This record gives sequence, C-alpha cells and structure tokens, in this order.
Amino acid sequence: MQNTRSRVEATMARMLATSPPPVAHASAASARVDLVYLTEDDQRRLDETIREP
Amino acid sequence: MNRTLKLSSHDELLSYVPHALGFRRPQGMVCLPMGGGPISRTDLPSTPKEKEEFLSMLTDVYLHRHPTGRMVLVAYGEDGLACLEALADLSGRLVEAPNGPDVGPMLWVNGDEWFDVLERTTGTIDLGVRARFDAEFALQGRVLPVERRDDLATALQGDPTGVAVHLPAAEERAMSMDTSTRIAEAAWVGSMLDGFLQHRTYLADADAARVLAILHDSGARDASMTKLARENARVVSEFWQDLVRRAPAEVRDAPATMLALSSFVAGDGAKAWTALDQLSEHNQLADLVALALEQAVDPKTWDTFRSPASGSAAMQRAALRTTITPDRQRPEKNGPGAPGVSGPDSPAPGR
Repeated sequence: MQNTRSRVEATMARMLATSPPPVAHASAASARVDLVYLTEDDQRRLDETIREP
Repeated sequence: MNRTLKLSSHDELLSYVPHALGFRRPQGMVCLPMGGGPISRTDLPSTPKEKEEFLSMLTDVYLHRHPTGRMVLVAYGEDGLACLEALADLSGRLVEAPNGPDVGPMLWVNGDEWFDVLERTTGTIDLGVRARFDAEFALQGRVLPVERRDDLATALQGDPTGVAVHLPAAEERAMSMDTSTRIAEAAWVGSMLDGFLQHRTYLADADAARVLAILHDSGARDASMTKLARENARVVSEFWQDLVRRAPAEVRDAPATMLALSSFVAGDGAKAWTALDQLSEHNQLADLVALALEQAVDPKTWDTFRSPASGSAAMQRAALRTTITPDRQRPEKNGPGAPGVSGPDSPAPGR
C-alpha cells in the first residue's frame, strides 16, 4: 500500500494530535489492551446487569 | 471510601461480556466501567516488568484518559493465584488514586465457574441466561462471538482463488489509468461500499479484484472511507473483512489496513489489533491506527474529525496528489475491456 498521506490519514493524525502519548508502549502483543467502546444502547444494557439490590 | 456495588445477577454480567468483547472465552483481565468508558481486556502479567506495564496501561486508561466513577473487574483464567493477585494489584492501584473509581464487584472466572472475591460466593454461569443473551443479540442482527480471541485471526483466513483469477488483469488495468480514470475508479470503489451498506451483498470476484487493484491509490482509500462513521463502522468492517479473507497475499495489506481502521472506529479494539497483525509490512495508515489504539483514543471523535462527504472535487484533489509507484507501472496490455474486469464507464459485474 502506497504511503502518500490521504484525507483518511490526515483525519487520524488530527485525532491523535488531541491525545497525549501513552505512558507505556506495549512491548509485546500480549501486553496490548483490547478496548471496546460500546454504543449507548449496549452501555445501557451493561449497566442493567449491575443493579444495586 | 470505596463503595462496593452488588451484582443482581452474575449470570447476566458474565453472559454479556462475550458479546461486548466478540469472543466467548476471554483470558486475562476484563475491566468494565459503569456508566460509560471503554471496556478493556488485557493478558495477565507473568513477570514483575509485565505487571508494572499492565498496571500502568490500565491506570492510564481509567484514571487519566477515560476516568470513571465505578468499575467491575473480572479476571479470566485457570491460574487462580495469578487472577486473584492481578485483581488485588489493579483494584488497589485504582482505588488508592486520588479521584479513583469505586471498584467492585471483582470476579475470578474459570471456565463456567465464577468466584466473587468481595462477597466470597461462588457459582456456575446459567446456560439459560447465556442462551437468552445470545438470542437477544442475534435478534439485533449482531454477529455472535467466536469462541476465543485467536479465532478472530482464523476468521480472516479465506480462499483467495476466485479473486486471484481476476487480479492480474485488474492490476494491469489499474496501472495504466490516467488521472481522470483513476478519479472515476475511486468513485466506483466508494459506490461499491455504498451498495454493501445498503444491501449487505458481498462483491463478485471480478469486482473484488478491481477494488483490491486500486486500493494503493490514496484517492480510492479516501473514497472508500468517505461514508465511514461510528454508526455504520461495524457494517463497513464486514465489507473489508470479506476482502481480507479473499485477497491474494500480494494485495492483502490494503484491505487489512482498512479493516483495522473501520474496526477501530466501530470500537472493536481486538479486531483492529488482529487486522493489524495480518500486515506483511508497515504502512502509514496502519501505524496511525495502532497509535490510536495504544493511546486509547475514543473512536466517537472520528465523526467530529472526519471530513464531510465532499464529492468529486476533493477526490480529484486526492487523486492528483497520488502517484503510482514506478515499480508497479507497466506497459498497457489490457484496457478497460480486459477479461473479467470492467472499466469505470461500464457497468461492473455484480452491480
């Protein structure tokens, strides 16, 4: 894949510019964090599973 | 003071987690912030160095980048001691921090058995509740979780034979395109994705080859992602995942990169990492996606930062910025009418 900067790449670069660098780089694949960002509906469903009795 | 929440149903929470992560039998630490913020899954540390890295990464996410008021921690694994130590270390680091979240419940899960660390209770996940959650998500049209995280990579392996038949002609044609033809071709790629968003019909082999042959062009990449938004990113990922499965090795990096990007925007970090692991070499967009994953950038911001759909003028500018790499330029052998490949001015097979 050719590495000329496209609008998609420029968009990602702008997003990254607003975020501080990580405190620790994952040194191995096993140290990576799988992050899942839920939709509002899914978050509501998750919160429903934990109710203070 | 740490206020501990109680689970009204361990079965519900533990039946929900696989649908959030995308795989049924996670291993490692799963952090579930209540009320918002990303869910995370991380392998458990096995050395002191890994432990410090583990704690630094997760506290960075939940104390600084996505602060939250309360969290549930679930450690999955056969090694009870490792799970309980990780729960104690992480909860201690979170709770002791100024403005740290309340933490609890804390669970150790081994197979279908769970142990509530704070309540000192145990149980087995109710298969009926699990089936109810499966049905609920299936009714929403969601893809059911694979069994293990490694299965995400297996799901990206397919049969490239059908596309490979058409690829040489498609590449010859792409290499011989002038600027205006490339602009039209980029728009055609965008129209293929639009069609998938509407009908969820996968591309015919000849069309798949044609898309793969032009993806080295930044204008085509832009056109294919013009419509990418948080709302449709999961469906866009299905489109690219199908192409990764069917792409011959020499053109597989481009759809894998697009899959990584669309999975990131969908909020599916595990699939995004898995797509990045498919790459044979680095490229700029993939490196940016990897950074976004490492920096826990909220994909919701994609909709704010992305350029609005801007039509042919912007695509033309993008196409004019792009040059074809010299080693891929070859004398024209087949024009738009090459066997198995239709030109931008002609209806493409499968449309």
